[in-house]
Amino acid sequence: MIIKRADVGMLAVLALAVLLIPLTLDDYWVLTFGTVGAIALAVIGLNVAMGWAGLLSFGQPVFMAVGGYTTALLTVRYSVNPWLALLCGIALSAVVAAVTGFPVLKLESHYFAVATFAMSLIVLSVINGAQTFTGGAIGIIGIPPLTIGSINFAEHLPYYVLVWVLVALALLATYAIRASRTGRAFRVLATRPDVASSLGIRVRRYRVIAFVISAVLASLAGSLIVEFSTYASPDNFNGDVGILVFAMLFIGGIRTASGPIVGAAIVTVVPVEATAIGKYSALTFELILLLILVVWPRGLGISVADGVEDVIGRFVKNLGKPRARVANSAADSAAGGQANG
Amino acid sequence: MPVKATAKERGTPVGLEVAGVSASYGRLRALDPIDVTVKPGGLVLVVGPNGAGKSTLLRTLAGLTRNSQGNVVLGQRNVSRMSAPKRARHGLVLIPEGRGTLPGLTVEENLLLGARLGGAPLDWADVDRYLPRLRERSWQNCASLSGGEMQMLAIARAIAARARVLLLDEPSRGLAPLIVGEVYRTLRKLNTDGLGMILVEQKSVPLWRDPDETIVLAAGRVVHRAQSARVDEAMLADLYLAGERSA
Repeated sequence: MIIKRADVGMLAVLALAVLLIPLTLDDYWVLTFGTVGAIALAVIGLNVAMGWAGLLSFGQPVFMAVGGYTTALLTVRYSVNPWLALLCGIALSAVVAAVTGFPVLKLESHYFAVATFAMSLIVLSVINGAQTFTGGAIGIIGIPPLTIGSINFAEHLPYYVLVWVLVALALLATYAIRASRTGRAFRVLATRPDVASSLGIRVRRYRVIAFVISAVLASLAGSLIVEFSTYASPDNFNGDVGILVFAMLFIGGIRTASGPIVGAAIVTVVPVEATAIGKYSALTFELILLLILVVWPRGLGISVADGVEDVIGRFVKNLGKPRARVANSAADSAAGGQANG
Repeated sequence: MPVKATAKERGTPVGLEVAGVSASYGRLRALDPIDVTVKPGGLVLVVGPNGAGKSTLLRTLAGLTRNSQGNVVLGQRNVSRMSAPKRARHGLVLIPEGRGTLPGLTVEENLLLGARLGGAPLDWADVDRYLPRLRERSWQNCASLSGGEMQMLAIARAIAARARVLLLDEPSRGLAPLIVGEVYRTLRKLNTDGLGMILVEQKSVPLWRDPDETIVLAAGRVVHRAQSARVDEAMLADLYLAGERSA
């Protein structure tokens, strides 16, 4: 089965929420959930690499940085159109993922994870080291926003709409891949790489394809983040981001369609809202994450969706019961009558 | 379409000629040089205790473990230097120990992977000929199948892949005798239709016919070979112990 019924239900609820947020909530929430959507793109990418193809990757910040900085440098230093710069970032990320992927994906599981973490440290070192070009720790400011005619995507509502349209397209595209031969090959890699080879699947080639897809989506997320904030900084793409994206996937629900969105929303919104608690806000956030992982190890999104599906299923089943009881009691009376007679 | 006709499409039913193939894991020799001949439609039984090198032999022939030396010739083609995916695409198909079915994929998706390997669209008629009940379960996640059904699915996947020589690693392992009988009945049909196979089992088992050759492995080397004969259990125990002593 490509997608579970409960997952579709959760997606429908999320789609409704995405539609209602700009209609019912204030500008602050539109901005916040615009950011959630951008990050969710990187998490959807990780879901392809890790959830489907079994690649334990901390590499998302690498490609977010490649996308973000390519966009920033091309627009600010070379006055390239922001849309073209965004596409260049995606293309460069795909090339970097393919070129680094072939040697790095020779490594298995945890070794690959460490290698991707090292890649994120290397990218940060390059950004900080090439100060005259990248602006170093200060970053690059004054990135022109994405526009179409008079629509400026640095404004909250247009940005929100753009991001969520892209999230919907990313989900459709990735699930189309999942349903294809490539998607089946990914799932074989994740469960039985030894069997994959004996089924004629070129393991490394498909791993590279999964890695490139995850890089493309991370790059898109990185570009959207810098285009919206008009500012690129190494802090946006450090190793913490890799761990947070990783956490978002598990908290939302790995190998589900709704999980990346739910995870991105929780990990983005909860720490901001927890600041109201005061000095224990960070601790509260971390405990909440721990609680979610312990209580719902399959992910909050899919666990809640399954729970709701169960409740609805039981409710529907119970609808028929009173009638059955009436029928039974009628039968009992008839039997009793006969016995008495 | 039966396997025989499929094999005809690719030429004729092919045999497998293994000459002096050995395998090592690093510096550790796991399998001493071995010769095996599987005629078109032939059957070779390989038996031996745990750690004898039976699975290593099949994995080496399938290309999953690199052969240190020797030649593997499938039909007229030397596949010794080919990668595992290439060998599989040429029709040398391994059904690994533990069935090799893929949880998370439906029955049909498993078969589609096989068909893709065979380079032709999935034809349920091929599968129905050998396993008529599998089609009813096409949308079932294969994780929910019983051990016997999983083994049948793994065989069906090899049928969809239009295997030319089948490498079977302990297909009876963990199955009830009744189910083993069903599995062997399917293998008999395939074998009769011209599919050559190397069958690995822990011990000598009654098969649908006498194998062309029975090879006993112990501690990575051949300790006994018998042409067209089953190996006596007591003799096998002696051979195992001899292998252990010399190891």
